[in-house]
Amino acid sequence: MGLRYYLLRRLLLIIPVLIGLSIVTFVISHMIPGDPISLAAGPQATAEQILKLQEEFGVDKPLPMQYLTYMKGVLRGNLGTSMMNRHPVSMDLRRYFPATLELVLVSTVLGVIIGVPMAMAAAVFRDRWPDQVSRIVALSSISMPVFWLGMILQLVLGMTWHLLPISGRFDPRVPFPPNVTGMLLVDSLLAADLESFRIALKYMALPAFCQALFGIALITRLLRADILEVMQRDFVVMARASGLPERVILFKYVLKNALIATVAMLGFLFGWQLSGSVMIETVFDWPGVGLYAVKSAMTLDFQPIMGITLFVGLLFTIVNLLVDISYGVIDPRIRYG
Amino acid sequence: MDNDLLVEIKDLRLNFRTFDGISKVLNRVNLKIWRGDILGLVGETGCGKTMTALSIARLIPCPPGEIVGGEVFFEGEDVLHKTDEEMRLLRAQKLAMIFQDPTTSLNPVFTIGDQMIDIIGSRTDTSKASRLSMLGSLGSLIPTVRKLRRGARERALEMLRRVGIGDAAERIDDYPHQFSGGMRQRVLIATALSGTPSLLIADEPTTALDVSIQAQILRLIEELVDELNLSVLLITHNLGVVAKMCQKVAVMYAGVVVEYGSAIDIFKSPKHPYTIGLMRAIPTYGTKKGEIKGIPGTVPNLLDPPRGCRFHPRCEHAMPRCAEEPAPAPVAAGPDHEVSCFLYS
Ligand SMILES: Nc1ncnc2c1ncn2[C@@H]1O[C@H](COP(=O)(O)OP(=O)(O)OP(=O)(O)O)[C@@H](O)[C@H]1O
Ligand code: SF4
Ligand SMILES: [Mg+2]
Repeated sequence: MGLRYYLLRRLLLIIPVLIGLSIVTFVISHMIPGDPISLAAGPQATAEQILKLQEEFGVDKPLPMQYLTYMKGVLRGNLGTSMMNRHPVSMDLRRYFPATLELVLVSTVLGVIIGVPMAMAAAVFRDRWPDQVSRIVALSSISMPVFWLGMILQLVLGMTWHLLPISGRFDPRVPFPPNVTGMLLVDSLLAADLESFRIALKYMALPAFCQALFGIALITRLLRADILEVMQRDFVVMARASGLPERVILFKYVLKNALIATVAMLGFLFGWQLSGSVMIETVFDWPGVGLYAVKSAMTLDFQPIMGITLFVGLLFTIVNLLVDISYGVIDPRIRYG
Repeated sequence: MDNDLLVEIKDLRLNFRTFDGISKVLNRVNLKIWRGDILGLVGETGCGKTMTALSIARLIPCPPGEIVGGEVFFEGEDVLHKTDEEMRLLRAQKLAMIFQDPTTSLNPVFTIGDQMIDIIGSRTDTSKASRLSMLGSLGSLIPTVRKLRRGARERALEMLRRVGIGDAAERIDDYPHQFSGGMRQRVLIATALSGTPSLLIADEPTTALDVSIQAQILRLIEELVDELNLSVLLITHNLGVVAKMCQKVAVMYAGVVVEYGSAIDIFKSPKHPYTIGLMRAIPTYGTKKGEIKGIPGTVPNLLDPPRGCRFHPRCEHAMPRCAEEPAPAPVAAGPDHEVSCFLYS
């Protein structure tokens, strides 16, 4: 079967996945003990006010009914309304999501451009110092609690040495670059505003670094093992016997084979970082979806939570689809179908 | 040194470091390949045939391998003391190797054309070769690289046609998995012989192939050897093939070349008890043709090989000195016929 058929099938498969996801999150968010309505209404609310709110959000109906009503809205692009700030969830998502996406993209790129060379050095100089250093870096970045590391970095680089800002996305005293994508690095480049770009980059540095650590560790270890395994294969001996230069063998013949598994994992890493950004966004007060989710969860505001989950789920599935396709570009043996 | 002597291996000793200790894989290997000869290298599995072949190209993985003694000469030049770049050029220009398994010997994620172009292009200096390979088809954007690529591609097509891939122009941009086993071995032969080699090392080139294709591939190799005037080191388990193709034979046992001579001498008047056993084990009628059959006893453990002659635990002529004295050195048993056994010294 061709790529087109494969794509169509995969896209159709997204539907049942999202339905399942929506049911699970719906059930869970409605099982939470506590009464979000009275929380939203505030301590001084009268009985009528609470009743009115209950009607407005439909929580007086049976759960399956509520779910159907909710899904009907979702199909029309309406993800419900926040009980706390009365904003449509889709509007808030549009506002917060670019910040998270930017953070996750930058940290994924960081993971690749730091992880891949570290893996290569570790494999080439196996059991010598580059390997040991990369092993220590990988191990400590996986085992260190990232919020703790984040706070240390804030203390040292931000408060003691005043090198980098410690929270937020942008200097509040400077006007934002005109909003196109919502991603400040992109927008400032689009506006050819290098000063804004520099500011955004400085604000990005610490959160992106902390967010990237997991990916760096993962890529370093996984790719190192794969490179070592590929270097044992017959075609490497054959390439050497044919007189190909060592650098060609490593950078072309070995690397492309070894990268297959890493590329497959990038989709997973991306999804993990999307949902894992909660921690980083809280520590660095990064106004993204993660922080939005935390605030909503603390007030039991279930509409935003459902919206965020569905949205991130959809994104995750799409990213994985893209990864599966690019996978086939690297490995010609992959048959779509 | 004699100009007709293409390869000479002298007293080569090779150890492998393993978890269980030091494995003495080659013990004083002596071997000569004369220009124009096809030398058959035979011996039981694990006796060191592949390692001997790889030592000529200095391709033994070190570590875990370590050459602890001896010399290897190729066209009179000391292989073990060349620089890496000299060695790379020697492999690229003078040596052709084909391996047992054509499936794993080709890189699965590049087209055969891409791989052949890289290899043909590697016969120049490293930086030029790297530029050609790393840029891949993008290299066509740079005029000098484009010229190199086009030349290499022409040469690849020519060789593919020569080894019997008629629709070469259509197949050259296919990936290895799109070829059958026999076709892949043809591709590897085409690749190996696309330069101007003087020695072909063929390490069990047909073992992984269907029986029906083996004969075709061997015939192809024979034809090309004739045409290109190559000397050959042919490693095989098949004594029938040796009898048919080789002028010279070397017999290995447990990391030692125990006997070396012309095919006629080895088959008609073998001297070493191990060779005699091998020849006796050639089945006559009824059994599968030409396979090496067992000699009583088992191959020694190379971590702790027998002292003296490594064959003595299995040898029916073993004498006390065979286990007590250091291993027997090769002695002449006739013109260009050497045997390492105390019966003859
Ligand atoms: N990487 C390695 N580490 C340890 N020992 C090794 C290694 N590679 C090969 N050896 C040992 O070296 C010895 C010789 O191996 P070699 O491949 O030369 O045998 P061979 O005669 O070619 O056998 P076969 O007929 O099976 O191909 C074997 O006993 C093997 O166990
Ligand atoms: S040296 Fe001794 S043990 Fe070895 S083959 Fe000769 S007779 Fe047999
Ligand atoms: Mg072998």
